[in-house]
Amino acid sequence: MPLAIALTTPSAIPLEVDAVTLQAVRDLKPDAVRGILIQRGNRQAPLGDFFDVSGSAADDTLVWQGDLSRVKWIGARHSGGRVLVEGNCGMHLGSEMTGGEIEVRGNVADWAGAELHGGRIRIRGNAGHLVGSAYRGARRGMTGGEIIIDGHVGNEIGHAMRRGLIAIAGAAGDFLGVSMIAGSILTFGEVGIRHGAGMKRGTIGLLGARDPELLPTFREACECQPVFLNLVAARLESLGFEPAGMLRNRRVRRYCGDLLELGKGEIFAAA
Amino acid sequence: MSMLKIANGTVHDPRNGVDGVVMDLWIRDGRIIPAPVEPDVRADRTIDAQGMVVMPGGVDMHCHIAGPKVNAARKMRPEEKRTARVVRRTANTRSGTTGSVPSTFATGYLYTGLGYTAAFDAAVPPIAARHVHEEFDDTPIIDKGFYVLVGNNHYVMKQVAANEPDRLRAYLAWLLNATGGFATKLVNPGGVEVWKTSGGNAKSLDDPVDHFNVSPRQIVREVARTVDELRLPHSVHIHCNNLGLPGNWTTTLDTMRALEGHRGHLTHIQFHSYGGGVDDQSTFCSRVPELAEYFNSHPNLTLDVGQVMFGDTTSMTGDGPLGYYLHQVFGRKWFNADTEMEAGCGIVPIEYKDKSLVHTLQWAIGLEWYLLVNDPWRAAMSTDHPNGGSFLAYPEIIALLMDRERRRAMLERAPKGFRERCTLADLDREYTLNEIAIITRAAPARMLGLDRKGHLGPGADADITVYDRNADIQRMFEIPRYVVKGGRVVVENGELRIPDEDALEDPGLGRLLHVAPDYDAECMPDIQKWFEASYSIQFRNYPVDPSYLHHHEIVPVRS
Repeated sequence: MPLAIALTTPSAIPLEVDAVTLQAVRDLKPDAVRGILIQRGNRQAPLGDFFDVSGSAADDTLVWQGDLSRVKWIGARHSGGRVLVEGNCGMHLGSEMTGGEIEVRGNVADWAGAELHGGRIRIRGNAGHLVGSAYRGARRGMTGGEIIIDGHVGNEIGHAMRRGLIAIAGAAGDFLGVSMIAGSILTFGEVGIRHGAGMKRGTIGLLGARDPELLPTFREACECQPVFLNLVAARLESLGFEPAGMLRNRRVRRYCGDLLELGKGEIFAAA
Repeated sequence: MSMLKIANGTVHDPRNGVDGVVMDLWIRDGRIIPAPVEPDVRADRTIDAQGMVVMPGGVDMHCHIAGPKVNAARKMRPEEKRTARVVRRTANTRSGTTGSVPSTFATGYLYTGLGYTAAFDAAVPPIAARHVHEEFDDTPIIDKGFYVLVGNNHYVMKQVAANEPDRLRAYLAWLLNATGGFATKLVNPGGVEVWKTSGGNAKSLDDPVDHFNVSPRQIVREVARTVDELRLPHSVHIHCNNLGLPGNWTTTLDTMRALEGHRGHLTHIQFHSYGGGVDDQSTFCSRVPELAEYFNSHPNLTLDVGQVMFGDTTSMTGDGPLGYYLHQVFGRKWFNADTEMEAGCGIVPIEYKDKSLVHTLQWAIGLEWYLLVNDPWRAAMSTDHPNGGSFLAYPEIIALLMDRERRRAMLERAPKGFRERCTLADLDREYTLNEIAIITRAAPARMLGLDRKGHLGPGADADITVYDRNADIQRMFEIPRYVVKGGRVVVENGELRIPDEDALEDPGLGRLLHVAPDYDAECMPDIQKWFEASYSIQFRNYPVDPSYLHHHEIVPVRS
C-alpha cells in the first residue's frame, strides 16, 4: 500500500510541502512523516497538523489526496518513483523535477513543471500559466522531460524552454513558447496570440487552432509533412494521450521565426 | 565607559611599524588608548589573543553596496537570490538575501563577519545620495562613505571648458556638502556623456565631448587639480576610459600622465591594463609590466586592483557604454539608466569562466598588479565588488598572494596560449602578513586620508580583527575569531554577537564618513541658475538634509 497523505484540515493560508519529497519519506513510518515541518505562510508547522498519513512509500509511490489547490510545491525536485495527486493541486507542481513520474487527477495551478529537468508530468485536468517555464529572471525554463496535459492551459507555456516536450490536448492562452530556446510544444485545441515571441529554435505545433494569429516576425516557409510527428504520435499514443492520432501523417504549414532573434524556430499551423 | 584589553596577540600594525610583535591593546570609549602606566589597572574584559594574529579592521575602498544601481541589480537577479544562502531573522540579525548583490543588512553582516569595518561605495550619482544614505543606515556595524560621480557632470564640463577654476572648485565642494559624499569619482570621463548623447564613446583622452568642447584629458586634469586645491582627504578616484577593451593600456598610461603630477587614484586598474587590438580578442594580453613601471616611479598615483575571480557575478557600473558592451558580448539581460545632468549606469550579469582565455588573463592581470607594485602602500585590495567578484573572495586573493604554489596550481589548468600573454608564471613574490595588512587596511585608510583607521596606535578607532593562526591562509581570513568595531566585540568565534538594536543605535557603529569642505558662496547663484534651467527637481530639495546622515563624522581636509 503506497504512502497516502490526505488533506484533513484545509488552510486558507497556502501550505508549502517541498520538504515532503518521495526520497525523504521513502523509509519513514507515518508518524515520522507527520512530524515533517512544512511551511504555512511565514511559519513552520508539522505536516500532521493538516494531513493524515497512512501506508508506506517503500513501493516508491506517494499519493496526495483531497483538494490540494492551496498546497504548493508538491513533487518539487522529485527525482524518481511515482507521485500521484488525487485532486486539484496548487502552484509549482514538480518544480525542478529531475526524474520519475507525477500524475494529477484534477486541475493544477500555475508553474507546473517549471524548470523541469527530466521525468514526466501527466495532468488529467487543466493547468494554469507558465507550465514548464523559467522562473522570473532565469535564463532557461524546462531543460528536459515531458509534460502531458489532457485539459486546457493558460499563458506563457514553455517560457524560455530549452529541451523536452509539452503536449496540450485542450486550449492554450497567449505566448506559447515565448523566448523558447529549443524543444517542442504541441497543442491540439484553440490558442491565443503572440506564440513563439523571441524564440530562437524549437517547434510549436498549433494543430487544432483555426487560423491562428501569428506575429509578423514569423515568415511562411512551406507546406510539409514532417516525419518526426509520426514518432511523437507513437510516443503519445503509448501514453494514452487521446489526440495523438492528429499527428499521424499530418500536413502542416510551416512558419519560421522569430526573425527578431535567431529565426531557427518553427511554428506548425494546420494546413 | 568600560575598558577592553586584547592581550598577548601577535600584532601587525604596519603604519606604526609593528610587524608581528606580541603585545596588548587597550581600548576605551571606542578608541585605542596607550597601555596604562599604573600596574594595577584592570580591564573590564580581556580577550586572550595568545597565538592569534591581530590587525586593524579591513577597509574596502572600492565597492558597490548601496543606492539605485545596487538596488536595480538586486531586483534584476531573482534567479541568483533564489538559490543563494539567506540570512534569517535572529536577535542579532535582520533577515536578508546574499548572492553577488546582498541586501543592505546582509551586506553589513557579511563585511563584519569577514573582519572588514569600513567600506566605500564608489559610484553614486549625486542626485541619488539621499537613497544611498537611507540604505547605509540599514547597512549595520561597518562605517561607510561614498564617492560622487562628477566625470560626466554637465556643470563640471561647462566650467572646465570655460576655464573657470574657481567655479569648478566651488561646485565640487558644494556638491560634496550637498550630498554628504566622501570623495569625487570620474567614470569614463566624458565618454558616458557622449554615449548618452549619440551612442558613441570617448576612445582616447583627446576625443571631444559633443556639445561641451572639452576632452577627457581636461576633465581628469582639472578635477584632480581642484581636489588637490581643496585638500580633500582622498584624491580624485578615476575609472579610466575604455574599460575592458583590448589595447586600453595606452589610455590608462595617458590618464596617469594627464594628472600632471596631481594626486590620482586609479581604480580597478586590472580592467584597464590590456594589450591587443580593439577589435581582435585573439590578441588580448597583459600590459601590466609597462604600466607598473610608470606607476612605481610616480608617487602621486595610487591604485586598487579590481581582481577578477571565477564564477557568476553582476557587473554594475556608472559607465553606461560599458554596460551595453558587456550586454553585447555576453547576451545577458541589461539595465541602463541616464541620470539627468550627472551620470549613466549599466548593469549586466556576468560569469567569469576558468576555461576562457580572456577571463583567465583578467584573473592573472589582477595578480600581476599586486605582485609588480613595489610599494604596497600605494595599492589596495579590491574586487570592485561585485564587478570582478564578491568581497567575500578577499581571503582567497590573500591566499593567492601569500602562496606562489597555489598560483602555480591554478596556472597548470590555464587555457592554451596563456603563458605567452602575461608574466604571472614568472612572478615568485609572496606577500607577508604585514604586506597583507597594508593592502587590506593600512594603505586604503591612508589613501582615503583616514587618520584613525587602518592602524592600532593610541587614538585610532578601535576597529580590530583577530584571526586564529591557520596553515590554510584562506580559511584563516574567512572566519576571524574576534572582530571589534568602535570598541565593541561584534564577532566572537565567527558569530555575530551584537543585538540588532545595538547595531543600529550605537553611535560608534555603522557611521557615515563624509567631507565638508569650505566653498565660495559667491559662486552659488551661478550654480543655482544652471540647476534650475536643467534639473527635474527644485534646487532647494537637492541637498540632503543632515537628518539623513544618521550617525556621521566629518573627515577633515588634509593639512
